[in-house]
Amino acid sequence: MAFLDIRTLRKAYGSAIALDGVDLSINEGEFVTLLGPSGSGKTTLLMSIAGFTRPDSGTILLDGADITGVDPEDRNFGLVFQGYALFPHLSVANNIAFPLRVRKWDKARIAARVDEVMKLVGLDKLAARKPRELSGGQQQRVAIGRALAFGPKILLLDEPLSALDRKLRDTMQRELKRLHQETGVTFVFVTHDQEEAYAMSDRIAVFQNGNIVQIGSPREIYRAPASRFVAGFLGGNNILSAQTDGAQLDLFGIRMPMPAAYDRTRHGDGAITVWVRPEDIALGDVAPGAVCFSVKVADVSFVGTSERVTVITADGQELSVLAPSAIARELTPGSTATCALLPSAIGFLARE
Amino acid sequence: MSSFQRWAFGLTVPAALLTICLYVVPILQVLALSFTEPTFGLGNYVEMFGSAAIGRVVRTTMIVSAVTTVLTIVMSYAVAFALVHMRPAARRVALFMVMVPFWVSVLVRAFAWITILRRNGVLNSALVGSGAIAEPLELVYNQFGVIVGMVHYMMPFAILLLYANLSEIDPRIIQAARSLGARPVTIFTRVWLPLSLPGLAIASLFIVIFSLGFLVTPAILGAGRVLMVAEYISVQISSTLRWGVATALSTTLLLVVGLLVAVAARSPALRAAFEGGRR
Ligand SMILES: Nc1ncnc2c1ncn2[C@@H]1O[C@H](COP(=O)(O)OP(=O)(O)O)[C@@H](O)[C@H]1O
Ligand SMILES: [Mg+2]
Repeated sequence: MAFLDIRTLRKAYGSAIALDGVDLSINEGEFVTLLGPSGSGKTTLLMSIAGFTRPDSGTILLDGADITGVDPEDRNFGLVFQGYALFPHLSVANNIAFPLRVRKWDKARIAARVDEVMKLVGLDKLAARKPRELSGGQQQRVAIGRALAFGPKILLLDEPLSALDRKLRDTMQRELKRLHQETGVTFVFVTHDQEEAYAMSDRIAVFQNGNIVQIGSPREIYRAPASRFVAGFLGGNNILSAQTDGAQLDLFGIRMPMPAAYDRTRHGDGAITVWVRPEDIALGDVAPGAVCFSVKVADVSFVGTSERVTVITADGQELSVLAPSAIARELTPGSTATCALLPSAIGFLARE
Repeated sequence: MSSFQRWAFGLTVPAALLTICLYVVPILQVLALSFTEPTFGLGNYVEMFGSAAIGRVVRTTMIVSAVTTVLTIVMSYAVAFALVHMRPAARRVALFMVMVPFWVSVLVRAFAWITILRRNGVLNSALVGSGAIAEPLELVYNQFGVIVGMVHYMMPFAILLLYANLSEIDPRIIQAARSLGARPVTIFTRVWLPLSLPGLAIASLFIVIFSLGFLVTPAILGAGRVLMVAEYISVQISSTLRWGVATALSTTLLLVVGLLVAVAARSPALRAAFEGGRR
C-alpha cells in the first residue's frame, strides 16, 4: 500500500467541477508534481490533502488510516503557499520557531532546531529580519524552512516558484531537489510549468479538467504522452492529422512504411492523429532512413539556443520546427525548404 | 508643479480659506480669552487646577472615557472579527445593521436609551414583570447610563475601523498557522491579535478623543448628575458666563488631545496603520 492514497476524490463548486474522481498513490519519500493548466484542479487537490478543502466524496488515506475528516492542524503536513504567507509581525527565526512553539518544544530544543533549519535553507545570517525586509527568494526559503521545521510527514507546495524571476527559479529548483534528498520528506509540488516539473519530479501527474490524465516519470511522459491534450500541453508538440490503412502511413501526402510504435487496435485506422516534437524535424540535412518533404516557411523566430521555424506542409498543416541558427538564418518567410523526419520519431495517440 | 497639480492644489484653496476664517481664527480667539478674561494673566489656569469641582469633572471624564473606550473596543473587536468570518451575503446584511445608527440623530438615540433604561422603562418593566428583580434598577441618570449611551454611539465607528484592519489580513496567513499545527486560541493570540494592533491603536485613539469631548449623550443620559468636561464648559459659557475658566479648560482639553495624537503617532503600531497595507 502506498504512503498517501487518494481515492476517487470529488469536489464541485456549484456547477464547476474542480476534482472529478481523482485517484493518486504517492510513495514515502517521493517527489510528485501535479502539473496542469490553470483551473485544472491542482490547488483543490493539494488543499484537500492539506485538509483545508473538504472533498464532496472520496477518501484520503495516510499509511492506511483514513484522514479525510482530520483537521489541517492535526495532519502534520507542511504547506508552502503561493505568495509565502509568512507572519509579517515575526522575525525569520520566530517564523520558523512558530510550529515548534505551538508543539510546546522546550527552549533549547527550539533554538537548536531553528539554527539547523536556517542553515538547511541557507538563511543563517538573516535570523532577526522581518519578512518585509527580505527578497522574494529569501521569503520563499523562510516559508519552506517553516514548513519543514517540525518534521512534517509530507511537504505540500503550491506554485511556490511562479513569482520568482527565471534565474532565481532555477536556483530554487535545485534547492528544492537538494532539500528533498537531504530531508527524505515526501514532496507534493504543484506547477503549471512543465520544465519545472521535469527538473525536479520523480513522478508527474498531469491534470486536465479535474482529472489526472497521465501519471509517470518525466521521461515516460515526455516520450509517450497518453493523449492529444498531454501531447499538446507538454513541449509544444506538433499535433498532426494523418491517414493510414494499417500498413502504410500517409503524412503530409507522403506515404511511408508504418513505424513500429503503431498498434492498430489502440491507435485505430483511417484518419488518425499523430504528434512530432519540434526538435525531431530536421531542416535541410537528411539523415539515413528519413522521409523528406518540402514546406513553405511562414515564420522564423529566435528562441535563444536555436530558432523556431514555423512552416506549412504541402497539405496545409502548420508545423513547428526547432533548427540551429546557422541553418535557420538562411530562411525567409515565403521561401520553400526541405524537411526531414525519421518515421520512428512519429508518436501515435490512442483513439479517444 | 504641472498645470494639473496646480489646478488640483487650487481647488483646495476655498475650503482651506473657509476653515481658517470660520474655524481656526475663532478657536484661537476663544483660546486667547483664557488669558484675558476677566483680567490678563494665568489666573484662569491657577483657578482651574485649584478647583475641586473641576477636579471632580475631570475625574468623571477620565473614568467614563476609559470605561467607554475599553468596552467599545472589546465589543467592536468581537463584531469586526465575526464580520470577517461571515459569508459575503451575511456580511452585507451585518454591515448594513452596523451602519443604521449613523442615520439616527444622536439626540434621538439618547432619548431612546432613556425610554429603555429609566425606572419604569422598557427594561425595568420587563425585569420586574418577569419577577427577576423586585425593585427597578437605577440604569440611567448615572455613569452607567452615560456609558451605555456612549458605547452605543462609538461602536459603529470602532467596528468599521477594526473591520477595515482585520479584512486586510491575508487569510492564507491564518491557513499557514493552522497548517503549522496552531489551534484557534493560539491563532487568535499569536496571529490575529498582533496583526490587528494597528487597527486597535487607531480605533482606541479615536474613541478616547471622541469621548473626552463628548457633550450630547452625557448631558442627556447623565441629566446633570454625570458632569463631563464638555458639558461643564458649555454650562460655564451659556449659564454662568465664566468665559475665562471655560476657555482655559477648552485650551487644556485641546492640548491633551494633541498630546495623545502626538504620542500615538510615534507608536510603531499606529505608524504601521498610517502606512497602510505595508506591515
Ligand atoms: N473557492 C472556490 N470557489 C469557487 N470555485 C472554485 C474555488 N476554488 C476553485 N474553484 C474552481 O475549481 C476549479 C479548479 O481550481 P483550482 O484547483 O484552483 O485549479 P488550479 O490550481 O489547477 O489552477 C476552477 O474552475 C476554479 O474556478
Ligand atoms: Mg492553483
